[in-house]
Amino acid sequence: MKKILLFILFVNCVAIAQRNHHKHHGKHQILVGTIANNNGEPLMGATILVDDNKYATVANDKGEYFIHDISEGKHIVQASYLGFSPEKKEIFVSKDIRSQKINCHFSLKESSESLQKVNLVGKTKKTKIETEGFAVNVIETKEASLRNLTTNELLDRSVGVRIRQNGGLGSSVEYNLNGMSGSAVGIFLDGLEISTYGQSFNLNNIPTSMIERIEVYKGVLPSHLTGDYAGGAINVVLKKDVSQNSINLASSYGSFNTSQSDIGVMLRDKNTGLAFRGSAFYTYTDNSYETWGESTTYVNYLGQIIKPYRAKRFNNTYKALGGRFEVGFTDKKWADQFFIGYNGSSNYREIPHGVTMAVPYVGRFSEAEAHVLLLNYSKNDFLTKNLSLKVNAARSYRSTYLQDTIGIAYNWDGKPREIIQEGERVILETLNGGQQGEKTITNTDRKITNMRSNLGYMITDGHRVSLNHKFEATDRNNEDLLNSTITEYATTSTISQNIVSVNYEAETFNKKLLTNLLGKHTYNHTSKTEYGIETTDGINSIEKTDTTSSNSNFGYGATLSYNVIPNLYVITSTEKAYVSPTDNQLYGAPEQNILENTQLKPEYNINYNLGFRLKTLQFNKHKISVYANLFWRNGHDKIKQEAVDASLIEEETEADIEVTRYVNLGETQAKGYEAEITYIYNNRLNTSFNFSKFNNVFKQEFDENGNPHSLYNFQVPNEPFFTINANIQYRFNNLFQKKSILNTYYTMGYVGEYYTVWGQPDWSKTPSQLSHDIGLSYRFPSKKLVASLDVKNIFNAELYDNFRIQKPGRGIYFKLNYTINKIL
Amino acid sequence: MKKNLFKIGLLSIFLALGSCDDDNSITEDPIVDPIDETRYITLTASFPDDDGTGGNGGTRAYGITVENAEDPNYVVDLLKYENGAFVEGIGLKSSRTARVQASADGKYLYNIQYTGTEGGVFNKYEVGEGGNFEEVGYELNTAAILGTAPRWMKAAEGTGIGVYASSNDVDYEEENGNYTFLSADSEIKIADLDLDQTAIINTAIFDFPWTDEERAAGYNVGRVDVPILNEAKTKLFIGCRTRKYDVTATPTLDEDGIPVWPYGEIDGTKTLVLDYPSLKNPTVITSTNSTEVNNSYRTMTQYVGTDGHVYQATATSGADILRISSATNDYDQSYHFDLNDAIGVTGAQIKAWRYVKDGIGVVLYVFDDEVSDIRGGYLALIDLNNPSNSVKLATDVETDADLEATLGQFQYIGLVGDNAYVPLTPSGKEGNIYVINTLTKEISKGATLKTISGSYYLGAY
Repeated sequence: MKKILLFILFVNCVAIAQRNHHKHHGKHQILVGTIANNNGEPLMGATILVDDNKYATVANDKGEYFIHDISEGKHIVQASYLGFSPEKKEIFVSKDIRSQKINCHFSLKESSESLQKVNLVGKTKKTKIETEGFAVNVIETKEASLRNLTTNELLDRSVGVRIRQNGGLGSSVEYNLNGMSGSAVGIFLDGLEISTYGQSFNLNNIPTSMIERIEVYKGVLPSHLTGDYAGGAINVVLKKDVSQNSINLASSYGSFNTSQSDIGVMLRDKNTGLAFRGSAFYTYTDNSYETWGESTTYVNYLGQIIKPYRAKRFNNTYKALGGRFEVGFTDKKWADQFFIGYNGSSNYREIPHGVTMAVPYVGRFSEAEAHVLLLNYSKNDFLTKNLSLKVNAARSYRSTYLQDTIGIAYNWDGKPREIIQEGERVILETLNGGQQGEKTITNTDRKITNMRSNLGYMITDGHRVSLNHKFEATDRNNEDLLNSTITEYATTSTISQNIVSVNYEAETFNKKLLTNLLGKHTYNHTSKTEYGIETTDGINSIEKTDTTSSNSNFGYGATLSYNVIPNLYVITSTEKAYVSPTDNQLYGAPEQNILENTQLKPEYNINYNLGFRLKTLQFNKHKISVYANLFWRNGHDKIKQEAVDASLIEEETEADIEVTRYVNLGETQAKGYEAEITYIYNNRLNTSFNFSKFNNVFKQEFDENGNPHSLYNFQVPNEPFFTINANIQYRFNNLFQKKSILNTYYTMGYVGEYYTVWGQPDWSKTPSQLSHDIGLSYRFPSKKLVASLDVKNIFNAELYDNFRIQKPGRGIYFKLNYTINKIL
Repeated sequence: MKKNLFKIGLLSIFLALGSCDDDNSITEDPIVDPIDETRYITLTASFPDDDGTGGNGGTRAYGITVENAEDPNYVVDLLKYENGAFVEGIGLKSSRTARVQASADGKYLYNIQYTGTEGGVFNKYEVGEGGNFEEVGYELNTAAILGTAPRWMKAAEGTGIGVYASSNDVDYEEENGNYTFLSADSEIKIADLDLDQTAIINTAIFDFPWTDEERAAGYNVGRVDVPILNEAKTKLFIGCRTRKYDVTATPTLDEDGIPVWPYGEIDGTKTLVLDYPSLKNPTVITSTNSTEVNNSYRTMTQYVGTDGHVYQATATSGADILRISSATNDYDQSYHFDLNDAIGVTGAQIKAWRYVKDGIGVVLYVFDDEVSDIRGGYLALIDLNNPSNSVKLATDVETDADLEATLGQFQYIGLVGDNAYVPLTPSGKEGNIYVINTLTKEISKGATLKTISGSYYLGAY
């Protein structure tokens, strides 16, 4: 096992090292050293990074490493090895003309977050959730966790979900649920907003092996997710079970120097009930994929644009490291589950361009870090019989750092652009000193408290009421580390939100009719501290003013599920839901170029769903299941991101597409349908097909003259509205070895064409896209080892997303999973 | 050396002979595309963005003959919308309203895309009838110098000038709540575009050339626009949104805790002057005749007159036309045209204008709503040499309040011979091209212009 792990690490590291083996010129400055553990044993395969990846290599079998041609000046050398705490040392290369040899040795300590894992075989809740009456589909991650798939990719393949991503792995993502997106869609992790866990703990890097299942709710939300969301929610449910002691390891490597490794451990002492769950992951990618479409350009010194141009992406590295450790008790008298834990993560993300690919960036990056303390408690028959209590709480300390200090404009060939300036051909400086706007170094710290409690009471069999309370408070502090444009007199604010919701579930008519009534009261509170200058008797002084403001709203909803004949459920749901503006929407986010708009009102939505679900019907070896849903969403005072109107702002520097702001935008309406058919033959062939089509139409009925609006009821541009996904999986048993299993996969994804502006001019068309992925995974007879190979976008199709940002072409990925079930 | 010259001579003769042969073969070739020499007038119109904000969604263009432009029975339905698509004319590349310029003969349209996915990209179109436009030349990336929402103008035939200003953070000192203003400088960037070759042939970056006194007094320029070349093409004049902070006042603190001083009065309209084509030696000239700013908004508001002087309107909030002398390249303080006096009104604001010839100009104006109750948008034919000869011209739509709003984005008054062509449509309503015979001072209704909600015509080229 250890050998395999080492092998994988070795493959990853060789790849990292190879990238840097192209600099050979000038005098020789050699950095040498050894890396060993506390006992002096060499750590073969340990990674050495200089200046955060400017130079990189790995240690050989004697623990030695060599790096040639180190530039002059100060450098930070970091040594790291999985299971050990990384260590940093500073070296100095002098301006000496002769060759130099610099020694730098490391002795690494084993870290507490060592190599361990969880393997959990969760009992699927899929069917139960899907027939409760909500428009929901449940994605199980068990299969996917063995393959080279990110959580986002898995979501993108499911019915009615469209992931709009700003480039490759690690780039920012917007989730679109049948035309509803942005703040209308809640992303939860075990029922708490995922933002609580920090920007670095997101669906780009949380390994699928940590996840039990993902629930995607369209429109109406169940009471345990009540939040400020009208478009639905994605709830990622992490693995909870601790019934079996196990360790699980996985590591993958593939195209664009992408590696992902994760590890999990689960331990429980049967006598005391004391249990431990821990998992950790590391993701690294260069995203160095090629783009060749119309949006990739080369600009010569005369400003003339040559396109299309073939380029390899650069300044696009993404690194993420995270871990989650929980310790507690299960199945005790006083608790079914009681866990306290720590969830920590950090990432480093280079930002290769703005919201379009028009200008490549060099040196713009962000770093995020989050430390979260967790508390989890659940108990049935709490205090009295039939009363249950669940508490899920988190206290988060998160920070986001952004740096952009390079003032030279680049071309997509990675070289500086040139221009004629005062008659001479020179290197082009950027517009405002940074790659995107002004030179910037900012840091935003947030302290978030997020707590959700649920008290449920079973009145009689089939009738249950529950009371939910959610509390969230955010304390935020912005710092400008470069320009000091923020002073100690900057306005500070704390936002808190309390949501109390009640729901009543009833099973009637022989348990065939399931109804669920929901009511929810939201109370938002903001306290603000502002500073002003007061003049008394001609003497100025700084005065501090504290103000508070609050707003509240009441929303409601209902679901109904009727089991018409065995296996066939008619499901319907409705709600009126408010969405309060978020922290970022109100106060802006410099790292995302969002300006503040303190005038935002909450939006409200009235949603309806009507559909049916045909649970697995079986004829001999054939199994079939069908799901279909019609949806109708009516948005009012909708909150939408808008490019800031240049005529509204005085300073031209702000009149840039890269700057946006959230505004309330009157009425919207989306109507559409989605469906999914699954067919299984002989438990060998597993196929599924889904599609979603909606009409997001312009609902302003009258123009400013009071006449019927000419664009009324026309499809709003700049949104994909038709998607199809198909999956085929076939299983071969005992193909190469007895008791082995070979699974083969094929996935097709289609997105219909759409236009980015009204009136469908050709130049604004985002063409329809069709991608094909194939994959296979092989489980060795021991059942401990699974190897998988995936080829994504096999035909190297030109795929686009937001604002014509080209996505990766063909990519090949290899992954190994190793599970030990019986330890201790 | 001599040998070389001889060789070059021989080569030249050889080439000359060779090209003669080529010429012959071309004349013999019967398949030559007929060149369309018709003078088309291009009409442009804007439509709402996807959130319904009028005029913000983009720009369409449509070429019509001069005869059709003058015919009130001829209908242009440029924004006809069928099955989710515009069906007439051509959509100019731009996600927001484009800033379009044209060659004097109307043959070419030039556009720099204003924000959107390709904000700052320059495009050149060869004009044809209807939507029969062809994109010609290179696309240019101006965003790195001018931003993605560039202010630019055709500063002379064949020459486009783009300008950009960015204010630095206000510099100040603070002690116990007592703030001292130091400066509010800004950086200016200039790009010189060769419109024939489609290339950026020169650029310049410099700080706005304030004197130390002006800087300390609180002067700032946050926006520059309407660049024009003088007749000799040796100087570039650029309009400035000049502001002055009242540095003696007590500032207020903004959300970031930064002091903000109120604005005070400026001492006169200012123009930034550069040497051309070197783009060096920035200086400032100041007019004592007005304290309005002269940076306009989306439309050209300074022209070289038949007499060689530059005539500059204090658009889009003032009523003055100032003169920059061709002899001194400085303001002629003895010259001051005031639209209010010339046509006997008060509170007029020039929104757009065009110099025709011999001191005659066509002006589009509205009334300042703080001074006057008169709403709508109005036309006047002015005489810069004899202001008393200026007259107001009547149109059917002039009192429509919705016309006033659309004039804020108005871009271009068309000119063919002695006739000016002004498309006037209140947002979402029907209007016409108004044809002005600048010799007889007659105005007549030309082609009928149809719109859709939140849309209006921006210019005739």
